[in-house]
This record gives sequence, C-alpha cells and structure tokens, in this order.
Amino acid sequence: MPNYTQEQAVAFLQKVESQDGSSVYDHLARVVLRILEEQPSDAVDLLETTPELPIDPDTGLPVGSEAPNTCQCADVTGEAALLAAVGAGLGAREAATAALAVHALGADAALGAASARFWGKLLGVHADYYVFEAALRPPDDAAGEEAAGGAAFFVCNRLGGPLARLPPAEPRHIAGAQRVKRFLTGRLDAPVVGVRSVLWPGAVAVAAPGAAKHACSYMGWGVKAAPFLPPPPPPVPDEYSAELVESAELPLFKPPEPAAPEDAAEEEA
Amino acid sequence: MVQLEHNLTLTLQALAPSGNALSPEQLAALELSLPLKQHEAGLKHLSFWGKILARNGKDYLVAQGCMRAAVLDSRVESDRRVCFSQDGVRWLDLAAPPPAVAQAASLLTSQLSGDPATAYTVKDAEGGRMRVTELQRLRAAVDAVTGGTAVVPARAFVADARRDLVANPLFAGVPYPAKLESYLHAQGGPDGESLAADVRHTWSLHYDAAAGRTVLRSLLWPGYQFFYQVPTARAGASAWGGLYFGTGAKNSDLIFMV
Repeated sequence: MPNYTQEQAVAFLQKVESQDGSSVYDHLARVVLRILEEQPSDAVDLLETTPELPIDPDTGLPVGSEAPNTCQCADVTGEAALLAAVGAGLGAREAATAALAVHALGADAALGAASARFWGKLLGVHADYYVFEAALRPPDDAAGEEAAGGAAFFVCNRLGGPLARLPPAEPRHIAGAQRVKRFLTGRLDAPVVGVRSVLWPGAVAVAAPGAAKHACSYMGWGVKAAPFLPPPPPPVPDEYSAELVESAELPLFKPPEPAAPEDAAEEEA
Repeated sequence: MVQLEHNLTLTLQALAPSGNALSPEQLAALELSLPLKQHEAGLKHLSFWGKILARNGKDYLVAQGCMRAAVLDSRVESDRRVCFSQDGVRWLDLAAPPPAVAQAASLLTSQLSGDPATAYTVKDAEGGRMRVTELQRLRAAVDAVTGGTAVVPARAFVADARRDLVANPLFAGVPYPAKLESYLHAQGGPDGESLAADVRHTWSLHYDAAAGRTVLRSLLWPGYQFFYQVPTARAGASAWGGLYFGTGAKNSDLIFMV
C-alpha cells in the first residue's frame, strides 16, 4: 500500500472521473447517507448483492435463470384469417398482437402451461377484456383443481399488458352469472355487484349472442340476448313472516285521550 | 339526415377489433358495387351504413346517401335514400314505410329472417291486424338506429349561406377527443346537441391516447360504433366514421345493465 497522506487520499477519491461530474467520494458519501437514512437491518448483505446475473455468451440468457417454458401455442393469426373470411374476429392487426401475447403467456416459465390460446374479447364499458386460455400441466404433488389439469383463464385490458388470472368458477357462480344481465365495466377491481360473476368465461360464452358464429372466439358484451327478468320474489309468507310476527306482538293502536282542561291548568300552576 | 362520406377502409380498420368487421369478399364487392349504385341512382353521396343481421345468415348490407342536405330549424332535412344488398353486389332501394307501418314494425321483436319476402302480422292497439313486410321492417330498423346514433365530430360540418350542410373546410379536429361533448348527433345539424346530452350511460367512450383514437360504442343500440382519429403528423388528417352491425333491436334493458 502506497504511503499516502489523508489529504492525498481524499484528493484522489474526489477526482472527477465519471461523465456526469461525480466522483468516487460523492458516490460513497451518497451510499453512506442512504444507509443512515434507511437504516436497513441487513445493510452489508444489500451492499454485497449483485442483482444482475451474468449473461451466458452461448445462449444470451442470464446464467441460472429458468429456461422459457415450451408450450403448444394456438395459431392465432391463422385462426384470425379463418374468422375474417366470415366477417368475424379481431382484424389482422390486433390478431398479430394477440398472437404475440399468447406466445408470451406460453413462454412464462412460472406458469408452465402445456398449451395456450386466445379465447376472445369481451367488450366493457370503460375497457375491454382480452381473454386467454391456458391448459396447465398438473403438478406432480398437487391436489384439487390444479391436479384436475383444468384450463386457467387470464385477462388483460390491453394486449401486451399485465395478465390477471381469473379465479375458478363454481357452479353457483355460473348460475348467478347467467342471471346477471349487465355490461362489464372493464375494470377488474370496480366495486360493481355481479361483475366478477359475469367475468368467468364459460358461463357467458355459450349463452352470449354471436357465440355460434365465433366458433372458437368470442367478442361481445357478454350479455344474454334474453329480456331482463328480475329474479322472482319469494313466496309472501316467507318474505313477510318476520314482520307478521313482530306486528302481532305489538299492542293495538289506541288514539291518545285528550288531556282534561283541569289537569292542564294544574300543571301550569 | 346526412350520411357522411367516411373512408370505409379506415373505419373498418378502426372498428374491426371491436366486432364491426366485413369479410374480404364482401368488402371487395362493396368497393366496386357502391360507386356503380351511386352513379345509377344519381346520388351525390352514398356510403356504407352497416349490416343488419338476419336469422338465416344472409345479412342485409345497408347503404344510405343523399343529393343534398339542408339545415332547417336546427334539423337536417335531406332527400335521404337507403338501399340494401344481401350479396354486396346488387343493391335495391328501400322505400320508407308509412308512419303507421313503421310504428307497427317497431313492436316486432324477432330477428329479421333474411328472406326479403317474409311478411309479419302485427296486432295494433284497436285489435286490428296490420301486415308488415320484412323490407318495411328493415327500413324502419335502419331509420330507428340512425335516429339514435349517426355521430359526427363537433364543427366538422357547417351550414353554408344557402343553409346547405357542407364539410367545414376549417375543421382541424376536435379539441377534446376524450369527451362526449366533442361529438354530435348528425341529425341535429352543426349546432345540435352533443352526445353528453343523451341519457347517461348511453355511450361507452374509449380513448387511446397513444394511438390518438376514440372509439364510441352505443349501449342503447348495441352494434353501433364510431371512431375518431386525432390528426397527427403520423396518421395525417383527422378521420372518423361510424358503422352499425347488429340485429336492429334497441337495448330496452339499458337501465338495468350499467
């Protein structure tokens, strides 16, 4: 180690070497200041962590990262050409974007889908839903709905945007969704009653107008073409039994007797 | 009532992603047959209006046009002509039914059959029976949809000195494309009421700021869609157009659905 004085060492660290005019001294000062401000419990570990994985020169992928999932993706552009022949579908431009989104979903290593396809598009009042269907590989040690190898549905509001996985539909949800005749809002988190029920695909796809034409695609409001019928009210005894009991317990109504004039005079006195 | 000369290619490009798409076969036929029909009929304007879906799949393609449209008492009066075609090649005129027949046709809720020779019988209020043909129903549906929709950007059209409705040569796009106030009903004329004056929740407006494009969908007449392209250096001048692809039925359940 060369025999520097303290002034010489500080002068060396303060020498401007970067293009934006900062020096080693400035950088270290910022790091120390940030540690003092945030006071993390594992400051040394955070300093020593290298976030970027080294790149493997052969594959071009970060070393140690998971390889992209191999998945059988539907031929979205080919299907779009078929649908366009009958005047349906998304149009060539959006179909190309949808094809890329399907490939991105299929290549998601965390999901590990066996196959993926573009299910269709549901129109919403504020935004539309693009729905994707992926067949998941049953995990070896899983049970329940995952093990059933069922299809998982994903929606996004714009192609290429973040995909949200739809929760699995139960029979009561499907029954409820078929009774709901509402427009979708286009907002997954909108506080509107019944929207989540309508959202589950399969519940609306069959009953929706135009579904027969779009054999493997759907685009519409997700609304049944039947007239709106509110659910029938329950039988009158069921509905009013509680109130009837309560009113039977109440005493009969009696009109108040008028106060005698002498009483009133006494009270005043 | 004036039908705009919208650019069909641009309109279909903008509206196909939300369902108003024509097959390439029909589009190719239309692009040839409509100018021929316009020449035959001697019309100044004739443009594709949309499609009324029929039960047997032979949908009615509808076009409408006019010679001249004038603004009278803040209404647009025009010699409007409507024609239809089922194959996209041969276009036939659709005569306007008498008001009583149009009223009776509006009571029918079934989908059009797709056979122009079909006749329907409607019971009127006095218990009498009225005969309504499929083509009368078709024209009544076209008129009803047009009356409730037919959107134009504000200030895109002006009345000239003769009160004729003409395109505004100074139109430079609407200033607020994401607002309903920027769009008018065409039949109200240049000073008519905007869509914001309609019943609330009648329109669904999607504005894509990145593409500079607005898509309006009518929730009262499901199937009518309108697009407006903001003028940009990349996309060129502003463009707009509306198409109706539907059964012709009004959504009477709108109030329960929003």
